Amino acid sequence: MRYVLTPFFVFLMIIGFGQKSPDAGFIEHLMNREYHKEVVHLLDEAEYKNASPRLQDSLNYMKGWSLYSLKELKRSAHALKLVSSPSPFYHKSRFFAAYNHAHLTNYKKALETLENIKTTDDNLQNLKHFEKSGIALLQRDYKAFDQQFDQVDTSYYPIAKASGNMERYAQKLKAHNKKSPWVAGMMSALVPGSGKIYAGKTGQGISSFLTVGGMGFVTWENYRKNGWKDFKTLFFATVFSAFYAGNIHGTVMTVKITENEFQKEYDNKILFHLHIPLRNVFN
Amino acid sequence: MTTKSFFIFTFLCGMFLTEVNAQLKPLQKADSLFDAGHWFEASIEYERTMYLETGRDKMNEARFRKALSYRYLNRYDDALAELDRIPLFSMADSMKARILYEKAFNLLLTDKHEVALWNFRRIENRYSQQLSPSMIPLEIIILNHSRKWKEAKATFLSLVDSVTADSAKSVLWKDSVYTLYAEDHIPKTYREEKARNLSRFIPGAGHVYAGHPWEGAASFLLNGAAAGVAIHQLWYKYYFTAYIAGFGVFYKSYFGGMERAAHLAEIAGHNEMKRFNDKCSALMMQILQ
Repeated sequence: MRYVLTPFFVFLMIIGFGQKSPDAGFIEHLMNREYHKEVVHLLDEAEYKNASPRLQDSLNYMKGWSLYSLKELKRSAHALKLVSSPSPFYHKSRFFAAYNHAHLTNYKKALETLENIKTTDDNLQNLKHFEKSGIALLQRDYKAFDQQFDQVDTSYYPIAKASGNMERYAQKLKAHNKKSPWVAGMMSALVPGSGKIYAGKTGQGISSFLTVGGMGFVTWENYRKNGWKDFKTLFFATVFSAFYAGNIHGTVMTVKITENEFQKEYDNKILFHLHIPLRNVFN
Repeated sequence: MTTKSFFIFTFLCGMFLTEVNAQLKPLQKADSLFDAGHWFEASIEYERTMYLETGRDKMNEARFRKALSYRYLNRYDDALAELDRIPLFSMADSMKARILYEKAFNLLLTDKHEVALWNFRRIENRYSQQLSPSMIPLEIIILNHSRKWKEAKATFLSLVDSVTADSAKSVLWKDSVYTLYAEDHIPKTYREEKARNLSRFIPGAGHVYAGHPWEGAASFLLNGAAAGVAIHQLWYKYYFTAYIAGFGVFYKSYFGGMERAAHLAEIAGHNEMKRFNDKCSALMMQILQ
């Protein structure tokens, strides 16, 4: 019996000792050297569910941070939210997980994550209000923004500058008047290119005016000299009509694109100023 | 007592086997991954070797192999960054030559031909004894890319001399080298500016220069037709039609044609060089085999 058991035990021990949990020191070394792809690869391959909670937290934090650096925000948020409260990385992980959700326009999850952060620290509470106010602004919920922003202590150094900018963005967004695609389309129907100028694209408007107007003049010239039934007149009239109708459609699209660009620009600015305090507080 | 000894033996045996396994791991694992073509995983294990290792030589070797992995992964800039981190002082000349060769290789792959050549010159000037015939092809390719035909031919001939003592073979191969580097066989220079200027004076001429005669003819006809429409309409006093439908189209096709000619010249230059280097590589392979 003993002779049967010996190889079996040796085999089990090799398997047991061989399956080491990932070397946290080496992974930290990779992370510090910004080999983020390598960190994620190693942790994706590794099995560390049976590791100590402390090690699990560290590894989840490193995985989340590397994924964040690789702009894989969804996976990053997931990994960062696995970091538990006793960990020294807990607050940083939760705030960045919320930021990742906000970046992915998953505002509900971002607010939930912030709400669930356990802290009694006044500065972190302040940061929480600031992040919530920013997310409210991303949602263009000005009432919620005002509620949260009123609770922010803007004299707190890491958020002082960002909160000034955030307030300015809120004012600009509140004062912003959306351009109507219908009005722009009507304007371009009356005077080609004028709708684009109304939408804020002056160069495009002038270019459209010259192109459509030029083609109109060509049609008129051929009509005046040859009449409607002439092939050239019909040809240029067809081209002019296509340019004219295309310009109206283009104007409507331009208004939508310009509005999207405006909103996107402010989203990026808000996200940037949500990010700066996080780096200031946690780095 | 026997049972106790049995368990102690089992425990020690298991520990020993796993410990040996762990000791062997980093560098050996990296090498086996590298040999199996898993270069990304190998690069991680080489980094682990550097992290665990304290001996300078082993660290340098691991870093060098990591750079090789990066080259296979087409991460040439990363490979160069790793090679730059290897301190060349107090190192065997053979290793220095290998590092400079690898740098030259990666620099060639990032189109930095002059710096690549400079690195190769460093091997020739300082560690010429370390130059092996297998390293020479890279120098020839770099010289070709730098359009230094005379030097490339001379290097190629010296390669033939270094690999064979058989005079019949040597004569045959040298003839092939002379043919390869004959005046009418070396890649033509296609200058983008020249193509642009040719199309400026005769629309389509730049396309012909870049080796696209049919496209050149089409460009010439399109420009001619647009200019013809403009002049015709002007003649019959259709001023708006002449300006918009004639000159408008002519303006677009004329300047567009110039840029297209320059682009075609650039592509032609690349293709010509590639064709030449393919022929060159085939001959080198034949000689080195």
